Amino acid sequence: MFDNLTDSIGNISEKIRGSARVTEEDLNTTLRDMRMALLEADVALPVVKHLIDDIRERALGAEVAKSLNPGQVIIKIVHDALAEILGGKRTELNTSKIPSVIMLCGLQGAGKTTTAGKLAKLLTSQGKKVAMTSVDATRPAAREQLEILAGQVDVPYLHGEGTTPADMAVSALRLAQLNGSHILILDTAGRQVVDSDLMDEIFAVSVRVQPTEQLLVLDSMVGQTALPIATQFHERLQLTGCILTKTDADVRGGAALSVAHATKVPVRFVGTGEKIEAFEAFDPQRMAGRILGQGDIVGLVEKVQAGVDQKQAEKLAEKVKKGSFDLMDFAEQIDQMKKMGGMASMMKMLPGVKLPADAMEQMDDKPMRRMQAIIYSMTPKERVRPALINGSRKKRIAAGSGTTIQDINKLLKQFTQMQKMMKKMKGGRGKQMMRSLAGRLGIPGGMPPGGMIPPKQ
Amino acid sequence: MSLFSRLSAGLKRSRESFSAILPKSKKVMTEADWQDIEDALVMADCGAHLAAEMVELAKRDSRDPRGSLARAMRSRLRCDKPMNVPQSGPFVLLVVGVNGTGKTTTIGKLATMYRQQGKKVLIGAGDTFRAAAVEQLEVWVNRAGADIVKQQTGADPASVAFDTVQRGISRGYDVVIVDTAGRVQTDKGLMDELGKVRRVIAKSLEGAPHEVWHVVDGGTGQNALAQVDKFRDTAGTTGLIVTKLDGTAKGGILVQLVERFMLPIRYVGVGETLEDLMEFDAENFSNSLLSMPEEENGAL
Repeated sequence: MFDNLTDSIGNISEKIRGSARVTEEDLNTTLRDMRMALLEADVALPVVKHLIDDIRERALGAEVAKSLNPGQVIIKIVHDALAEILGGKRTELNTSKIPSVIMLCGLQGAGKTTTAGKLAKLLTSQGKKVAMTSVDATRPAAREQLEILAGQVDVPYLHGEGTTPADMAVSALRLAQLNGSHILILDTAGRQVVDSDLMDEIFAVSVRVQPTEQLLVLDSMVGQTALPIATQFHERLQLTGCILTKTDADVRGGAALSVAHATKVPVRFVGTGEKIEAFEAFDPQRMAGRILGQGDIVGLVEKVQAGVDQKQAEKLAEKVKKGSFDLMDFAEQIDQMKKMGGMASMMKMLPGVKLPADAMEQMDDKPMRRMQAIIYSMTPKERVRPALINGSRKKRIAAGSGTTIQDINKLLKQFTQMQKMMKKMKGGRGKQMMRSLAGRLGIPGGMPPGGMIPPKQ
Repeated sequence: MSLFSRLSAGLKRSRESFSAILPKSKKVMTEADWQDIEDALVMADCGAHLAAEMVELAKRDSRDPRGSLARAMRSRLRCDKPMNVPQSGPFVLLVVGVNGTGKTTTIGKLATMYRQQGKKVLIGAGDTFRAAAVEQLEVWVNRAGADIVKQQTGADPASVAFDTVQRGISRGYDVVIVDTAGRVQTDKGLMDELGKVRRVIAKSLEGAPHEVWHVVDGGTGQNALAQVDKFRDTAGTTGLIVTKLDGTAKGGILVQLVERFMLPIRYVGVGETLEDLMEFDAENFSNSLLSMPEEENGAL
């Protein structure tokens, strides 16, 4: 998300970054460019106007022209203004009540039901006992869909009894209490229009079950209407947060800014793909940094930590110490890289790395997969003692993995290099080592050790 | 309710923003007035560049700002391409789009429309991915009185498409509509899958699919341009269907889509009942979007 906005704002800040002098004329041009970039990113016009005025005011107040590095000052001002609109710090869901009801609402096709499934999966993985229910009696097969999703993520689906959505919700809540759930995810009906019937219906549900969280699910591809939609839901329901869906569609993220501005509630999560795991917490400040092309180091480290199994990492550190790191461990490392979302998604989080979209597309994880295929085509003995691999074995492995002998030579060479690198490292630096490993793996033979995570600036 | 008034009712919200700005009387427009109009166009999702461009055009005829604006919009919406209906055999239609734009509902509406014309309609349940998608489609198909070809969840959608077209030919159906799962245009794997669906249909009947309709949510912002672009490359889109125009959405994105891609808008969805699908009329649309209703307060 935000890549396009990032690009255009990146270009704008590039122009001004190094400037020793910023005239009022320069400022005006920058703001005009920025207005266009924000509008093209589907930020709602009233929000754009607010943002531009805000930036102008701060820039004049900060006496940009007199500061030592006016360009940097402006960039900082833009960053602060964006972060402020996006809502400052990341907040956790309120699940203090038992059971806590998390109600999802939104228009048709926003992705409420799919999101319910993804949220259930996420909360379950955090050790919460989750149940789901749907009070959508309007859309054909809506409840069946949630029931199937519940089965997929292995949480109970509770059938609420009753003739109205509110009765059904109350009944499902009672069931949740009975089966000792911590959290009940409540999916509501959508409409094409924000109409009063829908609002009354959801409002009635809300009054009866008193959700601890009322989240608006919004299609991130929505245009200027993000603002009226969010405003209307918020006025009636007092939302506590928002979830943006389909952000993998190369959206420019305007909806996030519009909603946050209109409701002053934070964007909590973003849906990032078809898979049920494709769901991430949203951090406003880091997102503001990403929009300005400053990267997201914290996010990257988190991703690495989430992808790395602690026990495995310790085992690995031990192996490295003993010098017994073999090809099987190498294959496992590749698996972990994949878990972290692959190269492209990690590169995006690095500051100062601006790659054209098609280059990003090309940077798939094929080389990594190929390496894995090669390793899996070896015998266990060969994996432990790669020195065994002679010409005829190479031929066999190449045939087995659908690669060439050159590919195998390349892999073995990389592995040898990696072993050397490891010998240089003394123990107790497990995490750092993992990172440089990641760097090694990603761009075969290209990146120096430790290249994946640049030092903090 | 006439079709025009239905669209007007659907677009009422759109008009509200313009009604506050566009003068009823032919007073002299100030620069601030023009800026307001430009803003209203932007807020209708016409896009910042296009809005500026249309206002520039309209300024040339400041005696009739509403009229000139409507003309500027209409000329961009003009795209007459006749539908490719085969001389014999079934009319095969492929329906594509991103998730949640209303493909399944639209197919229900299309099936109803063709049934009302006395045609024999067969639907292929090509969304084998989303949970309960087939069940949802079945409800619509039954309401419309059409027939369905389905396989189990997770089946190859190309295989469903093939079966559907084959049965359409052998049982003498007039119209064959193949549904597909929603997919975002950036998902290469799923886009490739869609390409395969198209190729399989093309192999099973010469000249098919006769039309490929891309369903666009009327509330979509600038991302719609990328959607239509990528889907056109993969699925060979021949026309657009714009849904949810009765919503909060103003549908200004339509103007950009037609102008940029020269694709006709085949139908627009203006409501939630099976009959709420109507042919697109550029004149009605631009008039409805810009016309000023009597005595209406233009609250934004």
